[in-house]
Amino acid sequence: MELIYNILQATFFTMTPLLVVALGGLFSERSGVVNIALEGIMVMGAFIGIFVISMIEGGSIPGQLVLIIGVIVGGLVGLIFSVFHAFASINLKADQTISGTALNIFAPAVAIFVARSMLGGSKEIKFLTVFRIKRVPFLTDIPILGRIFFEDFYITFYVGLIILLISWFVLYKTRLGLRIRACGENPHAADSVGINIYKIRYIGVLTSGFLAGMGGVIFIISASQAFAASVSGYGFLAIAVLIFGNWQPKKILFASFFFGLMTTLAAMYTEIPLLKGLGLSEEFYNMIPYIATLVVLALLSKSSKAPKAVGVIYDKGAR
Amino acid sequence: MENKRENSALRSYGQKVLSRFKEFRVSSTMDKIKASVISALGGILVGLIIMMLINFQGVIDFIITLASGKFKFDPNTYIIGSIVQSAPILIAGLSVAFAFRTGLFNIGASGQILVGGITAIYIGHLISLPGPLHFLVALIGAIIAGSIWGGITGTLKAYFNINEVVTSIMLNYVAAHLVKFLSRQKLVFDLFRSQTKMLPKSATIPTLGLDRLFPHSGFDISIFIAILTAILVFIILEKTTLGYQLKAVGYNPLGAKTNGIKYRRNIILSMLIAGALSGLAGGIIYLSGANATQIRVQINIPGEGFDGISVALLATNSPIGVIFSAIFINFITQFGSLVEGASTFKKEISDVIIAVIIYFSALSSITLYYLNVRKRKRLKHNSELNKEGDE
Repeated sequence: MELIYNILQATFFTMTPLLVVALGGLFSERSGVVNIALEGIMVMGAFIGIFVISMIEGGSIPGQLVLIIGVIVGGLVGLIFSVFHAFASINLKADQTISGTALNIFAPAVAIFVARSMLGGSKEIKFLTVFRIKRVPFLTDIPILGRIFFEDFYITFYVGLIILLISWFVLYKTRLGLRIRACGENPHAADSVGINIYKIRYIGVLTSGFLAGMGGVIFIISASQAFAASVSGYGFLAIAVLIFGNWQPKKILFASFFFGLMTTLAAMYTEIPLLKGLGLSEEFYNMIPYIATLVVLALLSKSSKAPKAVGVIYDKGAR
Repeated sequence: MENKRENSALRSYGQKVLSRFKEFRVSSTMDKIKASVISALGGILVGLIIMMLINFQGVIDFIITLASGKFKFDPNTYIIGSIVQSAPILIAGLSVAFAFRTGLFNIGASGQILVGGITAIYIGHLISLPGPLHFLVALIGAIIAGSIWGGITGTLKAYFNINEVVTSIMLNYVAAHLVKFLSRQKLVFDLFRSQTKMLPKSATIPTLGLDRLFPHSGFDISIFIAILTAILVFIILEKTTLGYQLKAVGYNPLGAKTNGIKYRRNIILSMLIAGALSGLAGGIIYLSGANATQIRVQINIPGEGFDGISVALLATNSPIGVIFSAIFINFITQFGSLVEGASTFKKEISDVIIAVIIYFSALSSITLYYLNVRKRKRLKHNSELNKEGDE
């Protein structure tokens, strides 16, 4: 039982950044713009977000508030950074993969360059606060659920769940959501009923920038003690989660939980008798999340439904 | 009346198609080259501006240091070295470009490089053969291994409809873990350095004495292999039926299917070839005696695979263009270390410049548009003249 609690707790903090960033990708792709730049946007958001955290921590501001400020700053930086992608792919009709790749190269390069040139030799930005919440009075004492959801957790997990709810609500229950989905499926039809395609796509890409920037900070604070110009490929993994989740919020929650669970199992294999009994080398356990994802995708993927117009440049003249 | 209108509609449609066709012809190879060169210059300019914004005095000091000759500029390292050491990213660029041309985004070149590299290293240690033959066998092993790794991506796409981007990202990680495991096996493991052992000389890339002719340049025959490969890829893509079919599948999968081109076979074949190219790049990287690259025992996704994406994009996926863009991007990288050696700036400025160049090359359609404004005007003028003639 103790083991199951531990696995679930670890799963929650592995899945949170994936969930948030994949939801970001969802907004962009649902509006019809491929956003392969999620990795770069995460790096950029984490860079400034963690820098701000390292500046304000230890002062009069309480720890959890420092975290929330850092996450929001990361989000804003991501939003600003994603304007480059939006401008290139929406206004200038650039190839979306190329523009995204440019952002992916740009972000770590600038982060290292600026960190090393201006903040003194090292490329690392360290922070000291441990943001993990050990326990909450009353809530942790709820039988079973209290230990799963309110022991050894990050507040960001709940931020992620709230973002999930909002995303689902916006996409499926509001006019804006309908317009976003229309732009991704059939922009010409959407245009013909007076929807401003460019505006909607800007909203999609900038939202994805905001969420990816947040996700960058969330990833760093739960995965390490410093930012070193990398988010370990989580932006690309989030794209995988987005596709795995078939471009739907609920399924993205499931996909990120699945990937988080597999990663946790792989990392904790020594404590799980069933896995340890296999007697494999460490590296083979570490492959589990990636191979498991491919197997599940192979079983599900026949029904894969990408937004129809995703990646297609919108040209008013072309009919 | 009705008929007439239809006719004129038809005719204007025909003119539209024709003008489209002309526009298409307008963006010739020359224009693509122009667009790439403009992107490159723009990137360098923006990089310079960023350097000036961060530390204006630093830029001036840097120029003075270079001009005064205080900094020892070794042409063998910075010029010859940049050219001859661009072989790995050149071939990786070919792999990415080939996949792009057939409608696939091979973001998994890194994994294919790793798998190819470790195979080459194993062959290097496992068997003993004389001189260049040993090297050739190891290189062929790398090609086959990379090809299989790419083929997995192709098969999963062809038969299970899994997006190749996801598969190749996942396979990059699988390769990283697999290669970490393989590189710490007794046969190849150098315990003290925690990396793979030095290869026997017979398995390394022949240098033909070029490394002694140009000291510190790391000159071996890999650059010649790379250029020959580029020509080979060009021939496959542009001069063979196979290349035509592969491109057709990439351009319009449904259309290709209806025209009897085997969709599944071609997807798999494309990825087999792209994987083989990346595997070759892996062989070149890890069989290099001059640069003595070993695989470190750690989770490592080699950057050459991602550099390959930049190389391919800057070359607008033209195999011949890849030769120049690879050398150019390697120049920029070398410029980074020159900057770090001769000024207070850090070498990562080169990556900033490369990123800006790629961003600009994404905008190449706009660049081409402005390049062609004059030609367009002339075309329009001509067609108007024709119209007048009609009436």
